[in-house]
Amino acid sequence: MWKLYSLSHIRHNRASSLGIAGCTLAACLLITCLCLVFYNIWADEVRRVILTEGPAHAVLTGDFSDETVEAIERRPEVKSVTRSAGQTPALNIELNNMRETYKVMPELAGLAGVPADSGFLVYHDRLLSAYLVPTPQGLSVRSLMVIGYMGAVLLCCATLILMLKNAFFVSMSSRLHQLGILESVGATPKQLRQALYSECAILCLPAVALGLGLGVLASWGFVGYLASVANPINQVDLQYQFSFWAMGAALLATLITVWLSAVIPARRLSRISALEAIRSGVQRPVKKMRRYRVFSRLFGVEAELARKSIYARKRLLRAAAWSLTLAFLGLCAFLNVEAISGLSTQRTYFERYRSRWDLMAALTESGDDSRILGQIRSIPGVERATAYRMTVARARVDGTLLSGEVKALEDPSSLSERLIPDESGALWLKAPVLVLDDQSFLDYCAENGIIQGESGALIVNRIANGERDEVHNRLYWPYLAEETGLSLPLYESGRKDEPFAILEIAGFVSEPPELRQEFEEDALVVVMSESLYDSMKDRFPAPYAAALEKAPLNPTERFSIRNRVYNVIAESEQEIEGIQDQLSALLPQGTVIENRLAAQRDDATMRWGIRVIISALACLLALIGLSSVFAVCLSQIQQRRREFARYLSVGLSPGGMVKILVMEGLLMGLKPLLIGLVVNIPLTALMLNAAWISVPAYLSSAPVGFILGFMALVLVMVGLASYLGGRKILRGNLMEALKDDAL
Amino acid sequence: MEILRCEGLSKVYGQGEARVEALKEVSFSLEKGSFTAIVGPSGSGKSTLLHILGGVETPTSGKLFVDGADVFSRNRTQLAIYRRRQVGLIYQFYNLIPVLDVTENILMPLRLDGRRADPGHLKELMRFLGLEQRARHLPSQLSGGQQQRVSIGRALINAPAVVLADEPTGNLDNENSRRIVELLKASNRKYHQTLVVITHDEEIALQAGRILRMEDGRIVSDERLD
Repeated sequence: MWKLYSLSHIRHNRASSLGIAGCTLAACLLITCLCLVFYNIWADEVRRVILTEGPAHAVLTGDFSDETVEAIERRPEVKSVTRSAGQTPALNIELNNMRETYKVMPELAGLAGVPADSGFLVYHDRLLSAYLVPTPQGLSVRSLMVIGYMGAVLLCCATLILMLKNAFFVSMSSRLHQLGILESVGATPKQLRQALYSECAILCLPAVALGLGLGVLASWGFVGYLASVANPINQVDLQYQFSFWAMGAALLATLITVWLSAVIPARRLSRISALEAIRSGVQRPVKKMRRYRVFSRLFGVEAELARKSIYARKRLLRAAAWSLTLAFLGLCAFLNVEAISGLSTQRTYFERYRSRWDLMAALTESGDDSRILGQIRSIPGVERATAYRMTVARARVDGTLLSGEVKALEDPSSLSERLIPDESGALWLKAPVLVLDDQSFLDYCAENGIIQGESGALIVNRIANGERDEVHNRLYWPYLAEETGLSLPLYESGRKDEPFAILEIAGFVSEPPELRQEFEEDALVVVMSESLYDSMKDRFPAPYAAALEKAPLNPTERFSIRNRVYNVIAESEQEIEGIQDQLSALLPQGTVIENRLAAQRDDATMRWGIRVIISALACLLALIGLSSVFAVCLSQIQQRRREFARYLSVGLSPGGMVKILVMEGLLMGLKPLLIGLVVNIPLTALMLNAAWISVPAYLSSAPVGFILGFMALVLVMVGLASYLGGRKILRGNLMEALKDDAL
Repeated sequence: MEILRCEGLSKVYGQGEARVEALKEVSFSLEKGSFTAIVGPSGSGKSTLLHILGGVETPTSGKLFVDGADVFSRNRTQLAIYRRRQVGLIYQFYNLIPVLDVTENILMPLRLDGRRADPGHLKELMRFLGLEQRARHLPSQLSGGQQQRVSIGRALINAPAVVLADEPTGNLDNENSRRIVELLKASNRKYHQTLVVITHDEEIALQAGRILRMEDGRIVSDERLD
């Protein structure tokens, strides 16, 4: 009986039912997409950990006999034991149940004669924490990431419950009159709840099934897009992985969300008395009302009635209002941040580098360096090519050598945290050493008016004084007093006893060479020629172990004196791609060639992608809010008909009734949008100020299209909901609504 | 002086087997300042007649003249203006607008006309209704009797040609019913208001100057008591 009753109600209230189903579909889609995307991010992390560090749960370092290995293998907890293939002998151990790793491994170490806390037993923390295996001290920080993913899904579910329950309540309460009649003829509260649950099941189960499928597709699309953008840039190999477990978790989360959203209002409604229910849940008495005098004066009495009607129903509209406001606020804020960040990057990075580099490649030094440079310079379209190498040394500068401006300071070391005074008052500082190819060094000397006949180095003599000019560029003072005949001892990092070289300074310059490295934070940059370096290269310390350990993907990031970086500038941007092709053919296979324009394009693509994703998320959130708006507008029809019948009885014209409905729609749609806009104005102003970007510059890149499109979507949908609701309210004989059949 | 005249008013609902003739050829007229009671059993067509007189229901056939003008020759907007200016409706269940306070409810017909109330007239009306201390209260903060008085005030504010009351005391206790009837009679005397009241209560009907008795959609008797 209840199924027939519910089916009949659904058939006669299609729009309202579709609103509920739509809410459920959107919720399921969001939860499923989130679960699968997080799963993919987690799975990719695990895959990469296993790829780079192996699948072992723990490692026992040492050379162990075959008997020891067999004894470990015989343990029932152990899945496999493999000997390490590296220079240091070790056993890689995998257990059947990785959750027992911290408990079992000390025992296995004991079997091998290794004390558990000796440092020869190493746990694979990255892998274990990814599976939330707690260490003896508790969950590690890395595990918090995984917990964070779960938390995000739970937060999403909680938010959806708050929104969906209102939509369900409004839909259920629209049938209160019928439920009251059923109760008055003997239906129990439990039977009434069953009726509501069966309607919920009929509407929501198909929506959940569809949402699940769409969520899988959305997650596949999202991960695929992420991979297409991130893979080439970050040189990773993100691939979509489907998981029945993740989908099962999404399904469970969705069902619980929808069930809670339905059960809360159903229980509440089943407690209302039959009489109240027959009166269609007599409108809650309005205890408090605000005056809207200005509103009334500006837009007429109909606008005031619309505003007051919305205020009286604010509890029902709250979820929709929050959802729409948050969606629009978040979207605007994000798009503004992204636009300003893009402008800042464009100005501070891409535009600044336009004259500094177009293509870059790094090679380990070989005997062929000069020949390669010559060939690069002869490629058609190359305006300039520089080969350089770099390292970092330390210099000690006596107080007497400082410039007048720096000496005048009470504490010269306050200029930069890189200046470290010693007991004698001298300042130790980082001194990057830049070695240019001979021709480039000669050109650099000529640009700075230095006639370089003898072997000697130049010093870029400047230190930031903490001030900026009107376009936010740093201002500098000379760091050293520019005296002739200066010698600069260079020390290896971490050593203060003996310099590894003493350089004769041939001159001082105020700007470093035009390369990608800018040295803005450095007080002393030493520039020398390749020939000078060649004459003293054995004195330079070996490449820093730390830099080598990092093994960055891009060799130009490595501060290693043994690497030569080729910096190429093209005659025009159109030539860059052609020059890159010729460079690829010229340089050893596998050499990474950075392309400034390609980097700019990748950056733009990534920004566009992020913009689309965030807009999609905002649209999804707004959709949930809009579904609530639909549910509110299309429910409580009987009460609203009574409301309009009262207006009719005191002489409100048909045009006036339409005006009320239009004003209600505008208020529901415009208020969240205006709040979002108003809150974003000071936020945007703050960001522009912090990024030193002018308002006209921002306006040329402002995400007006996205924002206006979103606003239009919201207004159209709210307008549609108002129209459909209004049509139902005004249909037929309104005055029938004034008859009270409760007696 | 004749203020209202209806000629052959009929109202039919539904079709075929579900066809109901709620009103059958009802004709009568009202003098300005008269107090008329309409009585009859349930389903006799009293409320239908009242709604037609109030312009909220259109007749299937027949004509209604108020102040000499044919009411149902007007379009919907003009009918709304007719309801605003020329009639005042009072319901059994008050039908106040819950989001408006007492003053705003009373002034609604004026505000819909885009007019402002004469403060003196409003004050006098509020005193007459005994609502001075409740001017800013919402309907939920009023008793049944008070709400009905607000409803009367709303009906009187525009000094309409005729006030129509559908069981105005049906939802009130005896004491409040008596007060409401006194108010209606007072408005009839003081403002020379033409009054039509539908009632089941014979006592109330006997206080009117004329009783129209209805049965099965027709007026079966027309008794003048004054």
